[in-house]
Amino acid sequence: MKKAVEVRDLSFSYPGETRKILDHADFTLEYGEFAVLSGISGEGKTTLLGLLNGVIPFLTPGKREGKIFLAGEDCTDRKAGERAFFAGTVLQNADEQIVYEKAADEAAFGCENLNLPPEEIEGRVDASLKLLRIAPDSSTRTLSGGQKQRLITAATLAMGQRILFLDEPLANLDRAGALLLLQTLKDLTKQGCAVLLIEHRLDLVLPFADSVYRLRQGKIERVANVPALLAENRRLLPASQAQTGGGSPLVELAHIRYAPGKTPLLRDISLSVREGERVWLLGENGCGTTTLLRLMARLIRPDGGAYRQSLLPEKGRRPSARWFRAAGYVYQNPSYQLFMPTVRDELAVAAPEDAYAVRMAELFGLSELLDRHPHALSEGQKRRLGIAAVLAGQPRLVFLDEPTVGQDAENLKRIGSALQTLRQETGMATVTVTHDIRCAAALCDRALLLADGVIAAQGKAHQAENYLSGQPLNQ
Amino acid sequence: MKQKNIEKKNPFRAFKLKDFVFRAVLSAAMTLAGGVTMPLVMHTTLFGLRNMVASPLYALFCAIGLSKVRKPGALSVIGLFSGAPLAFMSVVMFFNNLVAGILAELLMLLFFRNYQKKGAILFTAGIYMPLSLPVTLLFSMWLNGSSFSDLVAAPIPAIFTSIGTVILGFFGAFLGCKIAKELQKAGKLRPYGEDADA
Amino acid sequence: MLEFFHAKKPLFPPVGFLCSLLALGVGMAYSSHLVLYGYIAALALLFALFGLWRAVLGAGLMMGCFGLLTGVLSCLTAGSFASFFETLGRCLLLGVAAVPMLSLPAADMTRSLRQMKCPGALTLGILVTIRFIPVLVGEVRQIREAMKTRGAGSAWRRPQTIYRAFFIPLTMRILGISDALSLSLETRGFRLKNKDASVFRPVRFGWRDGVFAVGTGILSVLLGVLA
Repeated sequence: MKKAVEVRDLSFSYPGETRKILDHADFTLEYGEFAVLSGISGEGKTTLLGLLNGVIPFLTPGKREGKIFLAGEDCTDRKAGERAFFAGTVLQNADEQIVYEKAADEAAFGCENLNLPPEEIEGRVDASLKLLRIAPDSSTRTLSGGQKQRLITAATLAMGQRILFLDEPLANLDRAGALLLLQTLKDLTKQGCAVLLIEHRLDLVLPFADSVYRLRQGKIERVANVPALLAENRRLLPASQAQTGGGSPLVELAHIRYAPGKTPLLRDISLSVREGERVWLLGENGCGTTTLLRLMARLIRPDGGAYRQSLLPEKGRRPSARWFRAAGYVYQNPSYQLFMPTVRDELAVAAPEDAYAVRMAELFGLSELLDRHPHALSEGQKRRLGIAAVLAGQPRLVFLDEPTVGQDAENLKRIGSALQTLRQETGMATVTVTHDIRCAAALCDRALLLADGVIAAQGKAHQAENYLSGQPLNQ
Repeated sequence: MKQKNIEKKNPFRAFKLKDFVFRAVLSAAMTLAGGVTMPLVMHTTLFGLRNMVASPLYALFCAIGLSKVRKPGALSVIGLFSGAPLAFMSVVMFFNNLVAGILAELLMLLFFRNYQKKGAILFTAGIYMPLSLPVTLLFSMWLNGSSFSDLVAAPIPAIFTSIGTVILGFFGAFLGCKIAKELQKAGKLRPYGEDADA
Repeated sequence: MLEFFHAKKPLFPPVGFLCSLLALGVGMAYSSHLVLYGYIAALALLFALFGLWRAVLGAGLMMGCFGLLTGVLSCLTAGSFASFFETLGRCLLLGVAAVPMLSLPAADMTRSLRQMKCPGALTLGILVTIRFIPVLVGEVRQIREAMKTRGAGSAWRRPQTIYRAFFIPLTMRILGISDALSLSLETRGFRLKNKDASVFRPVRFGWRDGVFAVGTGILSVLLGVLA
């Protein structure tokens, strides 16, 4: 029987790089199999997906050798548009992929490209949107991030391919949305489809997966001992000395309310952040953790409640440039904050002197990149630079939005160590939004769980670890 | 050597999907820029003021677009895409954008033959908005009920705005080329355009 | 952003486009006659009867305000009331002529272009441009906020900093968005040379469109006769 996906002796490296992402790798995916490709960012998972769906090397260049078969056909030299007849791909960042105003039109787009008759498209679109609970007449502009992700998944399902590749499809979904999608994919595999899912949230996916793979030294290995992999993906940073309280409050929120639309996102939030403290904000996707972070940083104003800060005497409601030196904010996407011609210049924007900028580069592993253009760096390097550039201003309080995404073990340790060092030197407090279980013990004194617009639970570092493993925070 | 090889090839190379997509997103940025600047001056009857205000931003984005996709026809497509949202509000503005783009490219082909030289990009991006002035002039005369003789009788404001449109257009194109150079340093743009190695 | 003006039963796009052109062209030719106001009113009524009342209201209000302001300026410049009425009339004409297009969803327009075998890349590009304007509005907001966090939000004494802090991230985001979108389109099977691509819910010419076109035509002829 034909295999859904077969990879033979595949090797690949990016232009100008000696490291091979894949080195004579073999892989097969059977029809009816739900496979998960796990691992941290930077290992090559998305590269493998790109090789399978034809994006690499036809759109993204690189040196490739070996063979790729989809549905038994040699697709090695077929471009992405031709491979789409065999395999569907769901990518991340749904907002950057939607071209139509109505959900039904978006869902039909792929079917149009496959030259399917309009009557057949109508039926497929209805079925796939119903499966993922999106109303056909919804305006794509007003859908939430999770709904947009479900829409582009529905658009791919409507195309009716029997092989599906999904790249981190759970990224913007809350737990209910994630389970809905996973169940849908499981049902498809029971009907004979083959699914390859790239996902790092193994705890959610494992009950549905038939097999787990990972990339190791250029090879695609089936993981025999999944619990060991789960344990390996957890605590990577040693626990650090916790702040035991006593510092004066830098920021205090009392009964804060915020409603960007008709429904309040934050209903009644009361919390404080003290000097030297490390606070983690936890919660489902879409529950308001980043919104709360931005509110605390005074990037947005609450609709009700009281906000007090003792970092700076400020006149007026608008935060001044001095405020953002005292209270640094690091974006999830570093591209928004990097604008100077070199890494050195980027660090020097906020640093009190050049020597301090160089020191920040050393702390964050950027010393060899000082003369490089910030946007020429890898995503992981950019993220470290984004953090370093803000911390170069010696803020007393820092807000960090997903600072560890894309970091391998070594660089994660580097970030953790740098934050520890700066905290010891300057008494810096941090408020972090993250889902990264690997650094809970090292970077958290107090964890706050946001749910239904309120602080639903509080806990210590080890309790944050438990929560990220799927248990209640208070346990 | 690479530049000569490219010049020897047929200047009318085929566009790829990513060329169209990039220009479409860039056109969205241009339309947004126009939407921001136009309300500031739309109430005025002074001919050419709207063009002058929009000129630097339009030229900036055009220069970036032409630096990335250095193929004849690129600006015409940008003119089509950036005019498309305007077609839903005013068909005249749609034709204005499209015609200006086509004219600018015809002049580029006449003087430079292709986009391989930086001067060609600077010229074409800079001259794009000024080439919309003739259509704007006719439209403005019709809207305000003035005649050509009225304009000739008091030409100073029109001359001022026309020269201003040209100067600001080339200034915007210069900034756009600077940004494009930075994109090259960041590895996001190839020195001779996207398919220079093809 | 123009969704508010869309009609529940949109016109056949080429009819909408041609009627828009006809109304504008004929109106421009007779724009110095007072009977233009009657033409505009009749067109507005016709369009409203065909369900395009939202676009009529929106365009009428917008261009009415614009026309009043421009008319006053015109009157002051030319020194006559006639100039005010002519300018106001022309502005209202621009508004009412835009109604058939304003009420049209972009998807319908691109569908009809594809049915007429217009290249897919061009129709897709038009859709992308329209769809990504609000996306870029969001991006600009993010960038402006990020500028504040880096101390570049109000550095008016250093225009070079503001220029860099705004345009470099914006350009990088435009590149990033277009790369991501290109990948998505390719993996969803879009090919430049696919002439056989289907059209989901094709738009068709109906008797309603014919009546609309004839109505617009009759009103245009009447204007020519009465002017």
